[in-house]
Amino acid sequence: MNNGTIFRTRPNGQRVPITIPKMDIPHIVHGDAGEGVGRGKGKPGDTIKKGPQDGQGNQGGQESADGIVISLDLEEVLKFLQDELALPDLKPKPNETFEEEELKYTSISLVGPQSLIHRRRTMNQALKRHAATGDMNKMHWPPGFAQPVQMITPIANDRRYRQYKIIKKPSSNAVIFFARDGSASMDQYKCDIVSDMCWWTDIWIRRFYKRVERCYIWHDTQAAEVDENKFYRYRYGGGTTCSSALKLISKQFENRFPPNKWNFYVFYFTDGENWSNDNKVFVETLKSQFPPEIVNFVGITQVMAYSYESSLKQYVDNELKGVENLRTTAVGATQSNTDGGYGYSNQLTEEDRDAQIKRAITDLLGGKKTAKRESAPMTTGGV
Amino acid sequence: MANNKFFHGTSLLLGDNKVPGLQIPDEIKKVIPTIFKACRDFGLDFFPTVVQMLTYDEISEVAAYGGFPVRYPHWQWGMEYEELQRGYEHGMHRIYEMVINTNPCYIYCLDSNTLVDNVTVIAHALGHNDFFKNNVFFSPTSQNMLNQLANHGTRIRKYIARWGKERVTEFIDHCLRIDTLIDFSNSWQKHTFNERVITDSRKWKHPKRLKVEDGHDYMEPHINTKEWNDKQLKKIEREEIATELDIFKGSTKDIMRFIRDNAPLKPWQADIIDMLYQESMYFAPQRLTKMLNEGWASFTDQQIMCRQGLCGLGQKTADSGIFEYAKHKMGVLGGKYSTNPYKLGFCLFNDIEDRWNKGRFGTKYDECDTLEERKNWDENLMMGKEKIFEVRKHYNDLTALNEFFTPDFCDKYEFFDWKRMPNGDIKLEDRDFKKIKSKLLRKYANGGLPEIALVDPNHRGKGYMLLQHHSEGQTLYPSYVEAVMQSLYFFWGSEVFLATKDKDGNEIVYEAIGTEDGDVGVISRERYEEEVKKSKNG
Repeated sequence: MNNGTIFRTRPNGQRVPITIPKMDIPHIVHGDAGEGVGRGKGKPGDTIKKGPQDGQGNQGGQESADGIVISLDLEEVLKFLQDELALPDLKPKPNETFEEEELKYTSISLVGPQSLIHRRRTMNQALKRHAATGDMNKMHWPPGFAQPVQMITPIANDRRYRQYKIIKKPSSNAVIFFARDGSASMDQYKCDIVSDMCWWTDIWIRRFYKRVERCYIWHDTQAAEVDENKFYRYRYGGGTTCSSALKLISKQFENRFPPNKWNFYVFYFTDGENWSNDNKVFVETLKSQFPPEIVNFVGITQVMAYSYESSLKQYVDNELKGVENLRTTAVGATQSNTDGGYGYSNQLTEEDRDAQIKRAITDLLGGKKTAKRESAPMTTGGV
Repeated sequence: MANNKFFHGTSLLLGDNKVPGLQIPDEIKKVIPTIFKACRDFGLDFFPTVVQMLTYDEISEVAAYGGFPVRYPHWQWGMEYEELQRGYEHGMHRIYEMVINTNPCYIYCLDSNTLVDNVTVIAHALGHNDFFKNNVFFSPTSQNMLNQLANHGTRIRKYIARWGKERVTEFIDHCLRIDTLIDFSNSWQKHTFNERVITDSRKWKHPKRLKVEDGHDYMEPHINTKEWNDKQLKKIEREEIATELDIFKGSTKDIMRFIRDNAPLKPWQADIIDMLYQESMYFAPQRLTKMLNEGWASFTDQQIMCRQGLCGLGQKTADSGIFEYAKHKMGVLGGKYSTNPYKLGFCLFNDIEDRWNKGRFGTKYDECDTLEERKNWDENLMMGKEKIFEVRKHYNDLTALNEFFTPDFCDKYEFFDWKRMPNGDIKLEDRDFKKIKSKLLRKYANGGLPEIALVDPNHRGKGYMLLQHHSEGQTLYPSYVEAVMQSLYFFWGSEVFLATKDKDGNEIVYEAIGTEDGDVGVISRERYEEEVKKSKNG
């Protein structure tokens, strides 16, 4: 799946097209000699076919094989993800409002519908009754039989039926906040990456945690709650004050989602281009309003940052080392590739882009085994 | 009809329990005897033929299996199928027909073809069928291969059940990598399998004698002379001593066979590699005669459709199919600057027929140097038909090109020689006949594969394997070489060396010391020899 390009696609239906590179069975074959025989009109010295415009020939002999596109069920793709990802567990909250009810057929009753008859129990009862009355060995001769046979016939009193019990399951409420940076520095390319990441995280959470509220927040210098559609479609606006999003979220704690009843998960996406004064405010807010007792999880993703040293992620990483509910990750080129100057995102190759997104999601939501990779180095280079 | 539809009613294609194949439409059913008769009238001599009508989905399955849907289970068929299917869905290509070299011969037609296309396809496939039956290079192949391949499938399924799917598939993957390292000429030898049964009896070999006609016994000493007999006896003696001492008999191109007989393999592994060797040998003639085979089939369908006028078969008027046929033909033979094997073979047969009709061959024609006279040369011999049937019987791609690719042919069809410039542009170099011919011959030599021979199975006295590539200016594709070397190491269990030349003509040596990625290294020949010396001294 590392090589596939799944993150680019956000299927509306239930099928996800995935490109798999074609595997050749290697044989010893001739390399490309760069010469050959053709047929047709022309004078010596004529150019028959233009080469690729970037000036690189077709080196290395054979052209790389095209991939095969297969389509998978969304369910199957999510199953792949399930093996690697896990949200932190829900915490029991004192005032649980929801109680899940589940029916389980664990009990036996004397009355019930014919469809729920418990055959083994019924026959057991019949046997017991026969044994008690002593006519176990009595021979019967039903019509159509060649010789007499033993028969055990359940009567109405022998019948046993399956019966359900209502099991009440305590269940905590969870709310997931998606917040994204919508400042001017978030260009189209970054926005796409953020959208892709959000979408896949979202669909994955929806698949495995059924009862969750989702809350979408978008901010530039001020934050606002938006609906799902707008969240994915809004493009960039003005300046950046990252802490505004956190403040808006923490306001929701007071009004809509009291922390004694709800579990909180926060995903925040930015390009790290924050006002430098605001970084401090951001960390302060995190410390005061998002402690592990209240918020189960805060994931901060930084997309394509080119001034990495002064970025938000770096600052947060330094200030809040070892806070258990906080995870940070980054998508984008390595530091060495970021010297290109301002106003220009180093674009990743298609494959790399997907690998990076996948790595980032795993960094955030990785299971217990991958939890140690919290400070995973940004290994793969950009271009 | 449904009962004997596809391999006599057995649902051999997995995944669907319905019998594949469709009812042949009436309009085609009606014309099939006419096509067969036309082909017989033209002089073709083919195996009994079964025509199957398949949907595209089914033809993709069959084509993915190389025409034999009964073969062993392996992921490569699925991959091939997926590729064909996607290509069809996106309109990039379509398979018009499939035909396999068996007796009876099966022709698979596509149901979405038009009538004209299907008539063409049947005539074309009968051309292939005739080629399979008559060409001398196909004569050693088994005509019962459908059943044989099914047996292979059964045996491999058994091994999978016994040893596990992953283990067997991995072994098959390794086998498939070396299945081009065979000697095509060995397909003429009788199939033997070294079973290593210990016996104390001796098989006596005798020199072959030519048969003397009855009542002419006095000719015996003249036909089978004493010198010849002695020579043969000595040869046999030498061979027997070599067998007894287990000496390597000299360099061989049949590396797969050598590995089968000599590598440390478990019985099931030896059986699988033997089966795959046989399959590879079965498909080898198709590699050797691709150009001629396709040319012959194209030539046949042109004969049937145009010269015998079957393009109007089942149509309103006699000539109403000709435009469609021409379009179909253009798709197969067309393409600017193309030298695809269909086109080359087709042109070659047309040229041969024309030359032998007009008597443009022999010393007299060759020595004539008046341009005018050569141009109008026509002895009206009409030997063309006889000659093309002879060519389809006795030649393969290499020999046919060698003999019939003449300067006239080269001029007439405007062949040229191209080269890729460093900036990626392809430029026409010149129209030098000798150069073009040598390039073409090199392209078709050894079935288009590099010639690699096993030179020494006990290299440096340490049981290493030494292979030699006879490069003749051609290089090997490096990343594939590395993968194949890993497989060779897997079989041989010891280091494997491959000596070849790089682009600039420097001698290099590939060295495999394991089966993992990165276990194959390249060093120059000089350095390699230095190291050998060092290890000898040390």
